[in-house]
Amino acid sequence: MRTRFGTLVISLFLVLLMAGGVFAGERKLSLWWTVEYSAEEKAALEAIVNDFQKETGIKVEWSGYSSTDLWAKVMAGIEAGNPPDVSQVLSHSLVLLADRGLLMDVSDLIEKYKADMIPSGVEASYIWNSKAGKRSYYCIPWGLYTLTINYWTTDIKKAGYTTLPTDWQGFWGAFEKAQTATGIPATGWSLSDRAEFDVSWPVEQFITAFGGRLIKDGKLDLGPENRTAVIEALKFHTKWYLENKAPKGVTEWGDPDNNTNLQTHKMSMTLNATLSIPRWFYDKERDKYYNETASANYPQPGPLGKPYPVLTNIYPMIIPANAPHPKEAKEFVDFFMQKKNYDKYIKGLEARFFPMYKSTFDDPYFANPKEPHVFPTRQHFFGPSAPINFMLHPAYAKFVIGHGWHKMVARVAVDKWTPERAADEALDSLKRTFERY
Amino acid sequence: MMPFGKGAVWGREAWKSYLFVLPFLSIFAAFIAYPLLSEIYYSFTRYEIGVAPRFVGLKNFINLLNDSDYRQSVINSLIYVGIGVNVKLGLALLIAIFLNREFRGRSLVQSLFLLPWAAATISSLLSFRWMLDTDYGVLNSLLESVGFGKIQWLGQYSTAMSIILVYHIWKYLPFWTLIFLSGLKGIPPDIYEAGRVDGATPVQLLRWVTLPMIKGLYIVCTLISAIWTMGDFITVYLMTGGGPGQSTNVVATVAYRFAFRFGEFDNASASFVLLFPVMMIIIVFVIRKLEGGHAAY
Repeated sequence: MRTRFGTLVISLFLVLLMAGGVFAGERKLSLWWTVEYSAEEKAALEAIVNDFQKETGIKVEWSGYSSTDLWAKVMAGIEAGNPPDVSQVLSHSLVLLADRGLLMDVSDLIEKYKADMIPSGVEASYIWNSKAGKRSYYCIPWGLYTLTINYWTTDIKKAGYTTLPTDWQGFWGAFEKAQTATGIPATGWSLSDRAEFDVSWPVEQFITAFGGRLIKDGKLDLGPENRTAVIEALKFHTKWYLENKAPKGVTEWGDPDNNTNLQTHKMSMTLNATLSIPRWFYDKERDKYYNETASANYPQPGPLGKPYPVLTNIYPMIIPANAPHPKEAKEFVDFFMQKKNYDKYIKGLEARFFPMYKSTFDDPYFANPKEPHVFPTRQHFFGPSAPINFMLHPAYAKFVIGHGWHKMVARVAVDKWTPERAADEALDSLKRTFERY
Repeated sequence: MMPFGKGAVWGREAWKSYLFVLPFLSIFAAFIAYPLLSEIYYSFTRYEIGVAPRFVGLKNFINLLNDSDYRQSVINSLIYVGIGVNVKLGLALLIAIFLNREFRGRSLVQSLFLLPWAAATISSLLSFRWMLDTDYGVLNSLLESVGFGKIQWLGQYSTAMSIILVYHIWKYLPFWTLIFLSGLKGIPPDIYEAGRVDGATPVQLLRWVTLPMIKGLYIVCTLISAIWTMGDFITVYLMTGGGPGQSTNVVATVAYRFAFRFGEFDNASASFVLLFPVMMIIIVFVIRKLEGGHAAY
């Protein structure tokens, strides 16, 4: 009896010892990623995760979410002390997290890859941290995007154009003429709270085109020039709807609605934060991708006769400051950003997002001048460009997240306020947001 | 039966009683009392994501009261609860009275009537949105076919707020009808019979028998529905996203924005705590009505 009991104890001890050895030796990390658009995105992520696991032996437990769900989940995870080791986040929420000192400083990784990175993307990743009282790199920007301009070339041709004019008046006027020729609304983008970037980004881009620069040297500038720029941008943003040159439903559109309206040819042109609309044509109706639609570069000079920057944004990876496996997290990010792995991933996304590396832009995939969508949009990063404003100050990010611009636009489009009154209300709200910081 | 007295509360046998209520008390403490007290505490602190709570007195409440978006959300919540609950329960009672009568096909009507409640919230919300789409919605197509113009149902405050109310009533009316129906079935038929013998008309039976008998249940339903409706987040969030121009937000959607967009748990908590006095007035009013001796059973 005693022998049996002794054997049992020793066996149990050995099992526990082995299990402990296995668990102690297992290296792992959790990864939260955005998977919301296409099967290719998921496949690209799975491929890089598998390669990483094979090469390092580190097990990756990954979960996919929509970008807005992920945003709330990362917030909750960090606060509950149970964050992921690596996660994607939307750029404006990144600014709020960095400001509160909740993200790991990854300057060493950025320095390693910086030389080949697009400067506006690097600039956008240099973020203020109120807790540390300094700016630093609190994210690894893996993707770039701009407000793309997608349109039906067939409509422009019907208006008598062979190519789009490149000056401001001529460019936008071509779509107005297309409406006259086709009867299809010239353009349309969301004016509703159900959308995120589709509302605020055009506002930001138009403010910039009208000479506005609301953040200067890290401070808010509400001088008369900027007020005028906001008013003119607002007039331009809403005039298409108010003059019946946009579908009537834009005041209730969510983020996908400009996609579907352009895809179904219910308007001639739209602005969209990624190339998701052309990618849909590429997958479903390739002939239209190559022969009936195109994407455009921004008209230069701007409405004031001066060149203006095209605003660019980053898609960042973050490592929370309280990540359970920071060493493994850094290893993963490093692996991800290594050129051979990175190129495979970014091309797997089929140009929905653009690469951070200048050298990747030279790849024929991104540099083919005959390509009707990728190549013209590529030019956004090589002309005058700047990070979108909300990357420059947490108060500005909070204003944008709080739909400050959405409200301004709705004041004019829905409540029929004058642009001056709506702009003043928005700028006052922006000022009060800054005062609380 | 154990006599009531000091021994009953603290006696040797009393611990057994406490043991029986312990599971409920634990759940109540963990899921009701603790979150509620925490929420009240956080509303008096500065508590943002990654920042430990620090007492700031009434600052959050003052900031919220100065915030026009928040004030608008309170007005919307009061409209949502005030109109939504009363219209819904009023209709539910009328329909329950109708369904409580004998007629051919009653079971079928009852089953069909329950469908909105059985339908998944998200799919029914999306269906509403598609039907109301300005450019492609079936409602506007019908209006256009009879010569009217397009209406931006969700693109202007008055119609968007009305649609939110209509959806809420449509969705939850069957549930409350079912509750009232079971209440009506509990009224002894003898009372109606006695009324009829005395020559009471159907309207008089409704006024002097049904309504007094169902009054207690109706008041309790009002209270429960008001609390649930005040906390309803998904209807507004999915139907309008708080738009146009943040005008249809209710307190629940504003609190969500504070907590999960800004990481400001202090303002999120204060958003609801500010409404506690209003809710308490409703609760006290309802309880007093109940204690007034009008409860049916």
